[in-house]
Amino acid sequence: MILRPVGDRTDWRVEGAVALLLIVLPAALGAFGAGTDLGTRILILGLFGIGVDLIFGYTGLLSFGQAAFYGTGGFVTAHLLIAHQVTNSLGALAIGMLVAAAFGALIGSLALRQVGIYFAMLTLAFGQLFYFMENSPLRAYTGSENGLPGVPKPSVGALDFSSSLGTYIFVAVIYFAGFFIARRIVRSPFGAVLRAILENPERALAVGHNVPRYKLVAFTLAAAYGGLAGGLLGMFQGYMPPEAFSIDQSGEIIIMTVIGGPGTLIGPLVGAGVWTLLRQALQNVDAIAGVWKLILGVIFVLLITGFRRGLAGGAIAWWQRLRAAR
Amino acid sequence: MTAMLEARALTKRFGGLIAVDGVSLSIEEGTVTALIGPNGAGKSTFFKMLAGELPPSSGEIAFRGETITGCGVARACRMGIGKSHQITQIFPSLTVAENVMIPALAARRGGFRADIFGSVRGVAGLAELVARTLAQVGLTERAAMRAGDLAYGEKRRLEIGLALATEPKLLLLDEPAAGMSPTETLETVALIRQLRSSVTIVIVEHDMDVVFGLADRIMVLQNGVTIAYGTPDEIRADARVRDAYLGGADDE
Repeated sequence: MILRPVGDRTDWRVEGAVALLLIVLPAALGAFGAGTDLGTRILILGLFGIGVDLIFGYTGLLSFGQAAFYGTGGFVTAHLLIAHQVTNSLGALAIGMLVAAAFGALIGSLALRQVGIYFAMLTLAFGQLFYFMENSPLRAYTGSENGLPGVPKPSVGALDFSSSLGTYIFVAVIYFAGFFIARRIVRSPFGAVLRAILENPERALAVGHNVPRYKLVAFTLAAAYGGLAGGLLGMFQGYMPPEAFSIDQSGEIIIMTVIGGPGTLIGPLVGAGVWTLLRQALQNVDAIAGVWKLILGVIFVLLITGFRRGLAGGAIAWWQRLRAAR
Repeated sequence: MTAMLEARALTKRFGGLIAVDGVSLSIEEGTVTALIGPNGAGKSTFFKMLAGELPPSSGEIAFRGETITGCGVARACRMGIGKSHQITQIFPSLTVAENVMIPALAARRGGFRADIFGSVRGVAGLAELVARTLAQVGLTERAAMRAGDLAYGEKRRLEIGLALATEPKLLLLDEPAAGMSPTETLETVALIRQLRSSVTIVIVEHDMDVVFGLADRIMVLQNGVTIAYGTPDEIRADARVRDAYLGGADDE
């Protein structure tokens, strides 16, 4: 008997397809009249969402405080670069990511003592705590409600990524690395136990797994993804916005993951794309300018009703049925 | 022979209710022990304490000479106490092979390992354990099927398979034949007969044919206390058991 990684249905073609998507995305967006910058923004959210998917889609942990890590990674990276404490883009990103992961481990070890709605409420509270910390006590470092302007564009040694396409390429390479690593994680024995926890946490515990520790490591990994994405956000915009810490940000990334398809890794990217494009399109129609949020909400309700497993989840299920039929 | 599991004066209180009141039990290696008793006798509560699912209010449990009282279910399981549940507790959207792989992973690579870049093919002995377990419970043919799509009897066998894949030294079976058809019950009895050569078994069961056909020792509980303990013949002849349970006013 051959054992396959849990949930595995494919091979390297998934990575190939994602690489191809990243290559054609700027041109595809151009065809819709959208710029390369929009693609960069979608990739950053998609990377942030990979972490959310690891805990939500693969482990069953619903956190409403992920913005805490997005913001932490973003402000640490931005501060280091602006203050010239670190001049290397990758080095600043790595430090931001590690600090976010450390806070992830800390908050995880507190919030994961509870499960279900109580866990969600605790993450919400911690998220708000971080927002407040950014806004008041740490204002000397974060610029409070003004955020941090003047974040340098990414560069690696002599390679300069400051153009719009350059930044896209820089972010796309990091997104791909993040996606590649996440695929390894979910296909590993560790990932198999996460899936078991998602399906039936009591039984995963009863057959001998140290469930709390698995949850904590997953939560820490998700924080690292959030921190890395936050660092990229500051570099991309040349400005680190305090909104990265906001509760809206925590909520939006969950909505994007649900629309795109939890448990797929690519889902958050799809969800971020749909969200960002629809928002852009609706905001530009004068007739509905006042109610664009309402229309967006109705569209999302329809999408979630129609695609129970999200857009990517629905597409994957359709593709599998097609292959099974042949 | 020294006992494999030794439960001493286990008591469990839920508020004012005493579900189990000072029950002791000694289980020898290689035997099949059955727990019987009317509904509400405290069998399941006693069982949960043995498996580490519930900490006893007082009393002590020793497993292979080591005190395990209140150590928790995950640790009890890694020490060698596996339990199959009365209500099927599987991983419904994983395949049958993946279901069995989850406990096998705990048995083969421990309670936790951050092998986030590892491969399930790289876990030594995992595939063999999964294949052997599937063969034991007769689900080899169903390996690639989604566990939630199995027939009821197959789900019950998978439930036992999940306990077996933890490689238990002591296997606790909570009503393994619950809700089964007569044919499925016979298959389950045959399966347990096969298992008894390799693992010590404690079984809670309502089906008296199953109990008397399998057990070396039977303990009868009523209202949280032991009213009889002995071989099947002794239990059959025990007047108190006949009154309280077998021939008495029972709702079963």
